[in-house]
Amino acid sequence: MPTPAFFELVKQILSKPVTNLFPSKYAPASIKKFLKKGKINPPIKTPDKFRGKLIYEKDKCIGCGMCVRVCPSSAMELVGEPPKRKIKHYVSRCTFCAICTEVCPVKCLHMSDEFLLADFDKHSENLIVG
Amino acid sequence: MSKTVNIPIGPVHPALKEPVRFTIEVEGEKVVGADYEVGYVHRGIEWAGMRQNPIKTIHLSERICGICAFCHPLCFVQAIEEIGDVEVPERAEYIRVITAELERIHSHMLWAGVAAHEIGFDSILNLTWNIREKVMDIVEYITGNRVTYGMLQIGGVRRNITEKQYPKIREATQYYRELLDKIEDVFLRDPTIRMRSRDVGILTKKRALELCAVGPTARASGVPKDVRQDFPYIAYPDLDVKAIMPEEPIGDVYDRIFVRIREIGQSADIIEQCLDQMEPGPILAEQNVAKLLADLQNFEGEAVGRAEAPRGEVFHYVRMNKNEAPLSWKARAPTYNNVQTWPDMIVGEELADVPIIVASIDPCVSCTDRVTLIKDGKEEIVTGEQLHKLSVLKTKRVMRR
Amino acid sequence: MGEIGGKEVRIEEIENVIKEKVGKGVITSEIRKRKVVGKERKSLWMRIKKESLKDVIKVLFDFQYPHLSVISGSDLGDKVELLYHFTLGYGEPQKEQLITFAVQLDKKDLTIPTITDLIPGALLTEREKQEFFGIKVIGIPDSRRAFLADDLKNAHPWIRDDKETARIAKDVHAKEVKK
Repeated sequence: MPTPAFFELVKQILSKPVTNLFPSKYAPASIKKFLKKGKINPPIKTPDKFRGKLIYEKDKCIGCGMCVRVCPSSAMELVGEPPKRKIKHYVSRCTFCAICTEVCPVKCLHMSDEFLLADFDKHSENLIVG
Repeated sequence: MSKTVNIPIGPVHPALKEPVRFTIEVEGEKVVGADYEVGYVHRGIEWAGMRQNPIKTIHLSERICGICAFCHPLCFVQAIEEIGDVEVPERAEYIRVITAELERIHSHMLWAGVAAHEIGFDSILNLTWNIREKVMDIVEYITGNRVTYGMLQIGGVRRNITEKQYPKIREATQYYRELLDKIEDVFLRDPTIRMRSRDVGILTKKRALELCAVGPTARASGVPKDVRQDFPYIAYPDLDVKAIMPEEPIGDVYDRIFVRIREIGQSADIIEQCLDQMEPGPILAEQNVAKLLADLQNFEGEAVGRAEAPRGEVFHYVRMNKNEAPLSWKARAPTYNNVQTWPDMIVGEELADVPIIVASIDPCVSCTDRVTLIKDGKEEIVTGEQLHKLSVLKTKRVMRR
Repeated sequence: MGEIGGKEVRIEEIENVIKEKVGKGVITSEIRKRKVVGKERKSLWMRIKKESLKDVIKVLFDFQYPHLSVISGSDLGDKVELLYHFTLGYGEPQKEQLITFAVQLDKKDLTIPTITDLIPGALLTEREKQEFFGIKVIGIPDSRRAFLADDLKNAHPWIRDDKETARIAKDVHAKEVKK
């Protein structure tokens, strides 16, 4: 039926798909075999100033506790005794808002561009920073 | 003899506020009674917001809704700034307007796809959501994230839009202006969509006034309510915004489609006007966040913040009394007012029209619930799939005529 | 300045008309100002007595059918304050006025008459205030629960030191343990 929508549909059938095929074109039958082969389509590049996983420079930290006061999801906690207090950050609770990077007086917190953070266990090694 | 039909209402929305439960009484194919029930996803956000400091609450209020995620913190921040008499620099107000209009474009494109899906045209769903990717790329370029932008701070915005970023934004608005003709062709001049949406789900002007409807739902019925035009906030007093209404409004689904499609073009014009009028300058009233936290402990008073989200008017009321946490906070989303118009629109219509009528007010609800139908006193549960199939079959019937 | 329904009205005029017609019901009245990109915007905040609430709202109908945004409230220790937010003057560019009426209720007598006979759209927000504060709205046509779950029958979340709400909230956080 020659409506305007019909011509759009014909154009869509004849054009290439626009989805980025990350990590593979179709879902693999066995994930272990697929990972052994090692060929994964890369994801799209992240823009500048992307807010990924937190980087914490432990030596610069002075233990003031301002980041604990402003974190919206209480993802940080203070450990140790003053004057050597440091923080521990739980990535599983983080909302990636980057307020802690703005409030830190010595600028020891930065955001990286790492976003592939899936894991089985909330408190595993690579989901706790500091 | 009355038959009851269960109708699951649930267009596919990525951001869910609450599931809705309908109880519809039908006789044959016609609806004779409708009732709704909300409150399935009540999360206690206002309770949490009254017990923590306002900087944390800005990020909490962003997560009230994912599609209209900029308007809630915008209202909250405006209320706090009025309490503390904070003067916001002019460049920050223009950046806020640009982000709000970009959000309006993405929300209306998402809704257009969902409406097409309810009618039965899945290919148009994919087409409009592909067109929407352009504005999501621009938003990620400016703010760093596709949803929940994190741009606002009390006294300004956190990120600047530099001169190097202007050409890319202009390219995107140009893209949408050129495509507007094609989108209007597909939605407003297609005979099938017109047959499914003309004179369906009518909300008269009198009922729209009595039930205090807001947003495109009210404008399609002839009530000219638009917060950007009437009660201008942020940089809107300097810009030229008029409420869009159809020439002879009837208040049916077709008029609501008309209002939303035209607003996409209006938003592209507003963004270009902002880029031309912005002057260089500071973007934050108080750069030091630690000092801002100390200042917030002395605020006292009450204030109201209003904004125009893609769905209507958002209203926040905040009251502080020399304590870090606010004494009270009321956040009211636009669907709160529009939900009361559902029974008026559904009674008298056919069963297969219910999905498109429910989706036409653009509900910001999570649609996972099922509707129970009352048939001869027995309760029968129908899933969303079955209801959607009814709607698609009707389109095929209509196309054959 | 506001042009509503063909007549030119300023917010000071609305305030004077209300004071004239209702008189004793008005306790305090204040016009607040706020600067928005260099231009000034005014809004009216009035505190009135519970008995004259409906008379004051009827005065607004002389200008235009008012738009009720929401009914909000706060807990002030021994009293509960309800705020009715109205706007008048939509439809004309830059001429809408925000008007708020505040009513104080004693905690020993939490009742208030309904306004759904004047504005039917106030039903959902009155139902919400019934369950959040424990107020009884006299004459409401439909008094089912609006938002809270059924097993929270005795909880009033917006009262500051409500024990039932504190017990439920404490349980939720106790289940999350950080190592």
